Amino acid sequence: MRISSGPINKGKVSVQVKTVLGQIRETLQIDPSEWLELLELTPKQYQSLLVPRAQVPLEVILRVAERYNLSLDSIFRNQIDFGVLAQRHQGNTSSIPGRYLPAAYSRTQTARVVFDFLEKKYGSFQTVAAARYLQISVQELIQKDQPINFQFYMDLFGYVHRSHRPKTGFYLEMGLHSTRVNKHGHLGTLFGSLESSQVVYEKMLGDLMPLFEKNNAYQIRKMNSEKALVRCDQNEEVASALKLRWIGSRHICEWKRGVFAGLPGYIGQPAASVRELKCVHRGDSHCLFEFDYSRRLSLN
Amino acid sequence: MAKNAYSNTNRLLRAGRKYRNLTQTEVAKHIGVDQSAYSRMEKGLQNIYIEQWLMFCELAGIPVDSAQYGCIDFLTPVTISHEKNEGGFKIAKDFSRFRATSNRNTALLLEYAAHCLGPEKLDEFLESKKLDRDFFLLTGSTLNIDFELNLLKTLIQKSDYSKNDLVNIPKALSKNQIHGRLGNNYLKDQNPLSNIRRFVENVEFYEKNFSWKILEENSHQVVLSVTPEEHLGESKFTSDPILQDHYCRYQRLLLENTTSHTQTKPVSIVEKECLYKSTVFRRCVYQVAQ
Repeated sequence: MRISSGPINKGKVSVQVKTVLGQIRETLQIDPSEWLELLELTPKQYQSLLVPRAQVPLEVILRVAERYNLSLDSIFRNQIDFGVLAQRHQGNTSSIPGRYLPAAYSRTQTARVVFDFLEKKYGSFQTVAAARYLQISVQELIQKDQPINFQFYMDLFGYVHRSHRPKTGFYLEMGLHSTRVNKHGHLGTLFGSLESSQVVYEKMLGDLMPLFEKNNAYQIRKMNSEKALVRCDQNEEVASALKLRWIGSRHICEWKRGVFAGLPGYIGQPAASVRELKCVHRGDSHCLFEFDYSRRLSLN
Repeated sequence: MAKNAYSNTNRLLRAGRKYRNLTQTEVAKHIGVDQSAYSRMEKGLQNIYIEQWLMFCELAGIPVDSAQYGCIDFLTPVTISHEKNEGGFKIAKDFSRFRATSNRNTALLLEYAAHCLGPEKLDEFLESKKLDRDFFLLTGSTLNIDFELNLLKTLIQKSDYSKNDLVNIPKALSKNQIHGRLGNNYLKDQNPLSNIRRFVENVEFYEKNFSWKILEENSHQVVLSVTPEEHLGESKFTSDPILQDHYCRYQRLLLENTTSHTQTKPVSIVEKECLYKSTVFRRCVYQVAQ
């Protein structure tokens, strides 16, 4: 099941919500009287609510959302993972929604940088709200590095975008934050002794990327002491497993531009100027990035 | 203030509508009801259906989950403002210069005031200050520090408030809308000292009257300073004969209870420097230990 990031379909929302309510009740095997008590409805009121064209009062949904720690938005979008809901109900908070498990070729550690950036921009508020929406425990996700698929990042970015409509450059800045966070870790140690930005790009895009993720294949097409031209092709296996024509989104591409533009930061150089000459989200068959490390990145 | 997260949706309708300077007729037309029906919704006399809520959120540009959190929160840090309006809400002149305290920060004191004075008297107080109570549902909106000081003074003068009464503040902390969208989950899984760090990191979402800095930290304690910003220079908040050091005590309790309300054992706070008690100090310094 994929999270839709567009507007909620208001025409179908009552029908969807009633389906979700039924599934919650079934999953958690809630006794009819307990269910009515939770909804604060009489049996007669509940029966009339089940009539196909009947609208659902907001307060009914709020009671359910509050009781089971679900986001209102995720109920309206009919995207609850009922397996996770059942596990949470039994006290297990570490499970990851099933939609994030097929083709899990990313690592949850990457999310650490994203959440760190979101906290700096929007406070812990955003983390709490996003975690509730995605049905994940941020603490567990970050502490235990585990495989997760690209859909997770697509949903997270989609949620952030819908919640805040960030300005142009937001995701680029988020990508640049990656260098700031990782500079004092293994990557900082590994790259710190390299002599030039060119070598850093060579090492990262040529050798290391396959170790970080298998969602995309990166290929250095041209490289000299000033610039690198990098082609990015999606892994069709991932696209097929996630039932997507193109994995990622234009926001994720902007984030990647930031991640890679920041690479010279590991050797104390300013972020490189970056252009995305081709992008699958603009109708091209692959993405093509040009990094110019002889020029400083301008965020304006 | 509302008693729980879902009893104030009607007030959210009004707050969102006024914030966007919309008339009842405009909103009613958009959500497909007549004006009188919409008016009943705002008064809490008529059900709001989910479709109507979604259409309202779309029109007013507010987050859908506002209904869940009982407030309208755009998750924006405080920026100091001198504006006399917040959308359609008028900000009284007394509170519009150097607006740097967000309603997220004031929410706790308002809950506490409702507990001490009773909701009716609190409404009277707000009316006397020419403030609309629904304005306080806009979590990121601001007033200047004088509002909180005025409210504290009123509590001291008009309620059975005693110096120790501030300890009742934790009762208000159980309310869902305290901290806005942080809801009940804010700081839940952290230990108190991590919570202090997190609170300080997030302080710009609460207020910009004071600069909060962590001076020292280790696994047992955190030492932090709270220094008034320049714009408070003209305020007499440290030398008010009625307030004395109550604002300092309030801030300390806020810190203590915000950051340890899920723990059985609260943190201990020792005040190493206090700008309210001595003219020598230009800041308060707290040593917080587990």
